[in-house]
Amino acid sequence: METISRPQRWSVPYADERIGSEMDWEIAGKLLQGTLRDLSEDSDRFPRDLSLADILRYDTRLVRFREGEMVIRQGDYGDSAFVIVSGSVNVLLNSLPPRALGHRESERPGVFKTLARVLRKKSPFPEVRKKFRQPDAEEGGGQIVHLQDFSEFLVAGSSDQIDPDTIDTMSAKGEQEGEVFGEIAALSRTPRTATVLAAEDDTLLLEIRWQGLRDIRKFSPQWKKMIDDRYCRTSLATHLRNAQFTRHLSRKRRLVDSMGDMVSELDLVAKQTRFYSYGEFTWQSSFKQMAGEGSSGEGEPVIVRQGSIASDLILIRSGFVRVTRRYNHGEKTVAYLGKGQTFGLVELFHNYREKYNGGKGKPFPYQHTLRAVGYVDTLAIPAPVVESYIIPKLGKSEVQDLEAEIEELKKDENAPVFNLEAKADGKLLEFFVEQRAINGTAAMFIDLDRCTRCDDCIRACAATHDGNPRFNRIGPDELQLQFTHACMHCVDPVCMIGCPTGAIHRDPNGNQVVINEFTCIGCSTCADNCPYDNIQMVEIRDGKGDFLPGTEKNENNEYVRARPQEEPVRKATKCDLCIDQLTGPACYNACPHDALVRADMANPDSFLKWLNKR
Amino acid sequence: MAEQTLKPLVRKLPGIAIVVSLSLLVVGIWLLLKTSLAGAALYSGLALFGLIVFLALFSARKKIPFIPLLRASTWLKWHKYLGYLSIVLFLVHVDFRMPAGILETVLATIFATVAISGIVGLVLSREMPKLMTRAGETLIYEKIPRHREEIRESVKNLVLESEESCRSSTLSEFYFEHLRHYLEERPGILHPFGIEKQRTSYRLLNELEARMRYLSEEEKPLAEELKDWIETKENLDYQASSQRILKGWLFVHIPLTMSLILIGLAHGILALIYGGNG
Repeated sequence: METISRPQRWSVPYADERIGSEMDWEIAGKLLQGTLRDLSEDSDRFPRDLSLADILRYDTRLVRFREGEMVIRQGDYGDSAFVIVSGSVNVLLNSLPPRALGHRESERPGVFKTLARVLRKKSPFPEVRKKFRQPDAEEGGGQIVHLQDFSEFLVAGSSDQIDPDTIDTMSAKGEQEGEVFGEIAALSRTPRTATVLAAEDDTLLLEIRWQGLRDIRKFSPQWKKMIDDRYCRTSLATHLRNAQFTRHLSRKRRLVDSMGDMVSELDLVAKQTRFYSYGEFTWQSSFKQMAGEGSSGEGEPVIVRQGSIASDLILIRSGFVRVTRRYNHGEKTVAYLGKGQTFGLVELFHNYREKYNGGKGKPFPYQHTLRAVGYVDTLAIPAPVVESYIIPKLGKSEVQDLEAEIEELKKDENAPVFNLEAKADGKLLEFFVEQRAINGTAAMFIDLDRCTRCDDCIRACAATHDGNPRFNRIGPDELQLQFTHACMHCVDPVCMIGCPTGAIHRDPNGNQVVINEFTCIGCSTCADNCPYDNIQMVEIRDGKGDFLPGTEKNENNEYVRARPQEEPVRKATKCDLCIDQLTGPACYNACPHDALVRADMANPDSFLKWLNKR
Repeated sequence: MAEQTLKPLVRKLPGIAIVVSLSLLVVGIWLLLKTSLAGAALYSGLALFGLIVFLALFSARKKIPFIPLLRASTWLKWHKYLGYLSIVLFLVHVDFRMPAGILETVLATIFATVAISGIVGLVLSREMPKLMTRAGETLIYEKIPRHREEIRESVKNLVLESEESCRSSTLSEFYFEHLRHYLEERPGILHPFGIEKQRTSYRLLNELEARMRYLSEEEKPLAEELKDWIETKENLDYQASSQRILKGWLFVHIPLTMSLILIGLAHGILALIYGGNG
């Protein structure tokens, strides 16, 4: 019997994390006999310290919703899945307007409005807001967003009756009792693809947090099959079609699978592809500790070890991996890979050529070690499938590149297969991975050899944000390159996990991570989650400098809160990449010495060019 | 190595070519106007004034970052090229002679000061950041007084602790005789250009090293900690005075540019009224 110690997360049962939720044993018992019968059939497979009963007790909660209440918001990074216990939900196949999702509607000022700012008088106080919204008390607890709050969804003249036509026009897909939803986004750390609303009053849902769901998938073959099948049906084919070496797979060519069914080439590969998750979903909590220790990946879960048999082509579905190779008594980082990139094709291609072209060389094992940096979701395509459907379809230039890499490896077993190391100093590469700068689509770097500390970047940022700079010109540095504390609009934005109102979200136009101040309730979940300390909580003021909701002067002429029982309203603030400006990022444009850059680490060509110019 | 030294030079070649070509063009036009007696001083004066106004706009551009007006680095590049050109234009305007009269002398002196401060500023901006980065931790200028206070408090507590726990006065004497004053003083503006061996920190570290023989085993780690604090203060002074220099030259360059424009304008009006067409 496998021994597993009691998970630390159970010190706080899931039901205790949300106001108004509960865990009712009577209902749970009925669930196991009814809706979750297939799960209860697998209960013997769970280890004693991680029993199904304990998972239900600590990792699930029952949440009641009333009609029109939002269960899942499109675009959110959710960390839980739901099972319908009673009632029903509507899955909206079309998007709700940004306002109803709690998102801000992006607006760019016109030329005249921009010019008028020259004349605008600057406030002597920080964080002044002309308009603000007092957050509702109940919003602190959870995702309390009702469609009834938006008049466009109501029956004319009614204050809370939802007009069914408005839902119908969104091609709602109904889900009934026993259905599971939200599991793919929770396991694969991808944004929710649709909004889900409670379709009737008193809809009761069982919410399972991702850790519990991962354990259930691990120990229950029936649930693993259900989740994997659903994943195959919904998003795997799309991912394969978008990945570099699998995009040639045909959807039309029909083949017979092992069950004798006619399926397309793409589906056949998808069926044999396995998906794995590595690392912690909430990796941000351990990141700072690891970074402080100067880890070179020792604590990161190994996906593939250098020297092991090359058995799969690994596709990175989400997250980042560190590619290392042995170097004396340690490991040297030679590259990092992100979403859509693959690992292991060089080895598989070499072995295929040796096997089928009468080669006498030894098969290549994996030439590098692959480690999960943070939370990683991978797809593994077995070697026979790669040999049958992927290698024969490679383009001429792809084959030439692979052959060149094999020749390099034969000449020198330490030769870097990945050419990033050749472009960026190896020490810098280690620095980017260790600091998780690789997560950034607009990471701010400052060349300290060129920066005159004039602070024009800070002043420009302040001038474009009503006098309030949105980044700190400090941060760790390596080889005179500072990784500055400014929101880098991550590929994997952990700050978005758990925002109760959807205030922090991705802008649909530019993909920047932005905050809607009107729906931000100042709970600081995003600021606490940000592993880079790039989100600041600020107390906002009115034009007179009084803290909102109100302050007054006492006999000593000092500002005191008018209503001592109320805390000032707090808002989360961070770099918005000047999304509302005509100029683009003001910091980048304001640097006279070309010392500051915003780097997209997934497409680092222009960044590398800037680095090499140093 | 030689290739690396050449790389920045190669990158600057187009700029140098532009400045040289424009300078030759200016001198050519001047020679042409001079021989045709068509008012070379008037045209060169107008061109110079326009150029100086354009150069001054760089400072204004920084105040309005929300208006799309090209990147500041592009502005700086052209500020440099046109700045060099303005020197050529100035020499052409004064006919390569020393100025005569009070107004012209004042104007020429201001122009020379602006031009020299600009060139000095450019060299400082290129070289000082490298020295600062290698000297130690980068600090935010506005936070330096707070850091200074923190160092002072920490050293004071350390010395008090050593006196109490080790029952020895060596470190406290060193503190009261030398260190306290050093921690309170602000560095001179030329601090970064001083010779290392002439710096107070160097002297203090030597002094402390000399007193190490009077320390108990218990006190030695505290003395080492004191050495770290002295080095931290040295970096703080270095960073503070370097940043003061990097910001300070602009206080010469920008106000004098404004004076140059105003006095230049007056000079132009007077020249037009009383000087004919030059």
